Amino acid sequence: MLELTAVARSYPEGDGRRTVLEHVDVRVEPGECVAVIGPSGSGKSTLLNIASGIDAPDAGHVVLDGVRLDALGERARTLLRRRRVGFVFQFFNLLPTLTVAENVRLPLELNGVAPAVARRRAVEALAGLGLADRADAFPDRLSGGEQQRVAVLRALVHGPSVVFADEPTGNLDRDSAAAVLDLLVAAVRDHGASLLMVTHSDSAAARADRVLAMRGGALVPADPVRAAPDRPGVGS
Amino acid sequence: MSPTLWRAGLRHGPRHPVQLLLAVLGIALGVAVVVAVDLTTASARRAFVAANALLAGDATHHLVAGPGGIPEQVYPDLRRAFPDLAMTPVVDGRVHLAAAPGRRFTLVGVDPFATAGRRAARSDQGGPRGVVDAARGAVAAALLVRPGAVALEPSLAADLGVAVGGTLAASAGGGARQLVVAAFLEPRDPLERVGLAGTLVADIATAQEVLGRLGRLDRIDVVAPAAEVVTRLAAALPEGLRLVDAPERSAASARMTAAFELNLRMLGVLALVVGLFLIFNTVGFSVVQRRALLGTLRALGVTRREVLALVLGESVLLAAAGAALGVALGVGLARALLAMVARTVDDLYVAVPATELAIDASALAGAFAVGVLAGVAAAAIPALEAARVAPTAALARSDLETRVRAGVGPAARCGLVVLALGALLAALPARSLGLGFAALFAVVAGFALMAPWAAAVLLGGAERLALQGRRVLVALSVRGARASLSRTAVAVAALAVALAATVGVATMVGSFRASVERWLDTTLRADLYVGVGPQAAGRRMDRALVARIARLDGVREVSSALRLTVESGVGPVRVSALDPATESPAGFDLLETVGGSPWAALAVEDAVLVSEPFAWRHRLGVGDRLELLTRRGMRPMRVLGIYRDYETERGVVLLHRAVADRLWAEPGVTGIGVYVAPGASTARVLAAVADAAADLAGDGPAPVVTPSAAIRAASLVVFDRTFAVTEVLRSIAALVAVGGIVGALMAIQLDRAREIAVLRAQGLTRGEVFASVQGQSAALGLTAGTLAVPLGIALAAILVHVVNRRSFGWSMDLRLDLGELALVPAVAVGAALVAGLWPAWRMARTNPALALRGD
Repeated sequence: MLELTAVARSYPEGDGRRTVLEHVDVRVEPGECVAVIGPSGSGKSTLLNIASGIDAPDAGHVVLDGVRLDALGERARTLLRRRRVGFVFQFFNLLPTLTVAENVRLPLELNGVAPAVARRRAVEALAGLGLADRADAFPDRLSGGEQQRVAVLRALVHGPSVVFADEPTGNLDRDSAAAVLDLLVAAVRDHGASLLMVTHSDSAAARADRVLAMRGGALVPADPVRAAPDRPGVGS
Repeated sequence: MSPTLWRAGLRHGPRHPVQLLLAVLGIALGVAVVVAVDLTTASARRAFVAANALLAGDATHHLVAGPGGIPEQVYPDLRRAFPDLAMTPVVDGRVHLAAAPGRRFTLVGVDPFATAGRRAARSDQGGPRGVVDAARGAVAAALLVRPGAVALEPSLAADLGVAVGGTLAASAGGGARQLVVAAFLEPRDPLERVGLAGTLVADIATAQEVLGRLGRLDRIDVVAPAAEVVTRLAAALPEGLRLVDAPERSAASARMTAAFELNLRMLGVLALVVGLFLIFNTVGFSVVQRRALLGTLRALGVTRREVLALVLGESVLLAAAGAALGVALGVGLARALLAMVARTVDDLYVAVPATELAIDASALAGAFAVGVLAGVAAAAIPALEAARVAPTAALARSDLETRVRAGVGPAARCGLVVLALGALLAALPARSLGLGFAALFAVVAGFALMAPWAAAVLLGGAERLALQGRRVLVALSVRGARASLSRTAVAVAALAVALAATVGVATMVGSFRASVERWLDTTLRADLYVGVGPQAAGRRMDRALVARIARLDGVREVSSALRLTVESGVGPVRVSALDPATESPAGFDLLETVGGSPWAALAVEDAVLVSEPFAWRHRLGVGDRLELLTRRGMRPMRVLGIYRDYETERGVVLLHRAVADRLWAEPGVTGIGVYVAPGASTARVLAAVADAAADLAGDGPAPVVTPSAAIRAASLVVFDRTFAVTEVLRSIAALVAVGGIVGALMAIQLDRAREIAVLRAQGLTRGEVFASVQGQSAALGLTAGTLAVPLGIALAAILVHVVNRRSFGWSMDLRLDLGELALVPAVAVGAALVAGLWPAWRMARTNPALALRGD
């Protein structure tokens, strides 16, 4: 479960400050998928950073899996992220120096799973996606869609309580985007995790249980028209 | 930490092999120089100590006398007075062997009977063994039976191409002589072999004959079992004899080379410091390159401490690889430098018998550890930077550069403070050489901190010039270098420091050489000099020769000197007893006197002049008193003045021959200065002097007559040889710095890949890309070269006025060669262009399509 209460954040700009988040309240239940849409610069990424404990709010607080983040130090927040959070990025961010299987097993090892066990579980997970033959390849040998599926696997392999996805289909063609969203949403629901997804894509937003829009530094329910599936010719 | 996490970090290096190689080489070359300096100086010292130990054996004290040595009769008298005391008479001196003209050997004369007695008297049979012990039994018998017999170590005999029964043509103070190899000395261990490598052992009578010391002993070695015996012996000594502590004397000899060794070691440290810039650059660049990767790791829950450990762990491996390679390279370099260092130590300080490299495992391990620690220390700042990387929000490069630019001002201010601290340390009226080097390194560190600011200013100026000339491509190159300050600043600082060190050392050597030349011009006032020549070192010329030369046609005047080694209150000192010509005083550049000219007083009083290094070393000022051991015991001599002298850093005590005759009554002279009359032919006078000298020498070796110009030239040859080793070491530092430029250019070019690809897509030719990259190289070189000049001058000033003064006691004037200084930026540009060749070639060949394809 993820809950943000009265969260505010501003940044210095010139002589003054620019408010990005004014007053954000949101709660994402276990097994629920929430999409956040909004124009560029509206504060979506800031919201994600604060929700995941990467950044701290000026006001308000975040509760992640029952733990208030403002009560934790930097190291404790990092360890909480390690154990209970999964991340999916727009540009995949697979580690280029690790093979596909190693990328997947890294979160397991960070959480204390024995390397041999982690290796087996990573290969099994890849096989489940039909990527077993790419296990020992380095990420730059995979297509964008394949890389993002591996990234989703990496985000979920250690069974996180909350998954954050930052434009997960923003860099993919339509078919790959659909495959990645299928995987992400199904896996989150299967695991009973909470998903907070920032997206520009209407089709991605349409897969969510709720769609919220970032407006004036606050989250409001999105226009139902925007939340409809993409029309033909509208890219993601 | 997770093995997969380690893999994520460690696989970065092999993906960038050139960067990796440069960093490894940087640390390797630095460590190599440290190892080479350590091994060569330690080997030379080891050889010297081994030889010294062998000569002294287990003696606790040496009995010494004035310059003429101990009358032979003293020995049996003392044996009778102290029958229970183990004593050995010794005569030793330098000999030259025709079979090895470049090498110098020590001939040691011992009394085998005394040796046997001393051995028997010793209760501790396992104690240190001296050469006297080596020459016993069959060896002793062989030495006694044949006239001119010597014993030597078998491998030395093999070097000289002689076997037992063979002969060696030798020359020394006693003239030329055939020596017969009567026996081999079997060394007990490798160290003893090192000690024996330059030693010939003979019966004492043979040694006296060869060395020209008939009836005299150089010393008597004493093994005193208790302090009480020493007191008793000292009280019973005849006038003119003195008992000195043997270990203290050996240590004092070993200390003489300390400043020389420290100076070499500092050059090694300099190379290592320049190597550190490379490590800093490489690790810093690898962090910048991996900001996205590190950010992702942080987002995945990798803690700051783990990121720090990851980057430092990589640095440990990098530094360990470099240090291991450096140790191996260092051993090779040491082999190449050993002969050079040993020759310099031999020229300037003490006889070094062997040129065999002693590889000390603990020294190698120490250098390895220093390399690893230094590498990790250099990586600490980039590693901390890596640990600060924000999760996911990996800073854009522009953000980093903004931060670096913001830090440039504070760093420069901090640098200014460190620079001021260095200047303050240099100005302190202290004697500590360590403080001198601290000042030197503070100035380097202060300057390095100011380098980014200075580089930004200089590159900004270059950019404006380029834009005024409407050369957009050139401006783009310069701007690229300026915009990448995070990596260019360190490379520029590294090259500037290496070049400055080169400028500093070259200026110091140049200043030193100019001072020596000036000193030679002042000192060598006579037109011709007559000496015994190196083949008969220790021999003296008949004093009648002085009078005879003075009477020759074309000779205006003569001066003469007798060189002696005299015991003093501060140990054995070199004394020059001068019988001056009218012009002689003008040959002394008096730095301080008690008031007015000291020359009149010098001829009559118990007074001396001391050379500048002597005064420095023994903390003597004018008006102080120096005790000299004379025929009638210790005598205080008043210091009337201090004069400039570059002959030896050990220093010289000068007194008038008339006073010397009163104190020691030593016969002969060791040098004669001949002043040719105006209008007379120098060549003709030279021939006449040579004839007179040969005539008086009879069957003995004829003295050598040398024009002052030849002495001047020969002195400068020795000077240049002394500094040859520094040349090699600072070249290595410069090489490391060029590696830094290659690394920095590679880093910039990787950053610019997309920009270059866009330019290529817009029609920029490969040649133009090459030129653009080389434009950056030139800009970096020019910046480093411009910065190197003021730093080089500062380093030279500290080397000349602080380090040299405190190391050797010499003062000299700083001499700046403006022509050479003006060339430094050009040299730097040349070095940078060479360094830029490969990155430029690589970028010119980049396929723009690949670079434009993106992540």
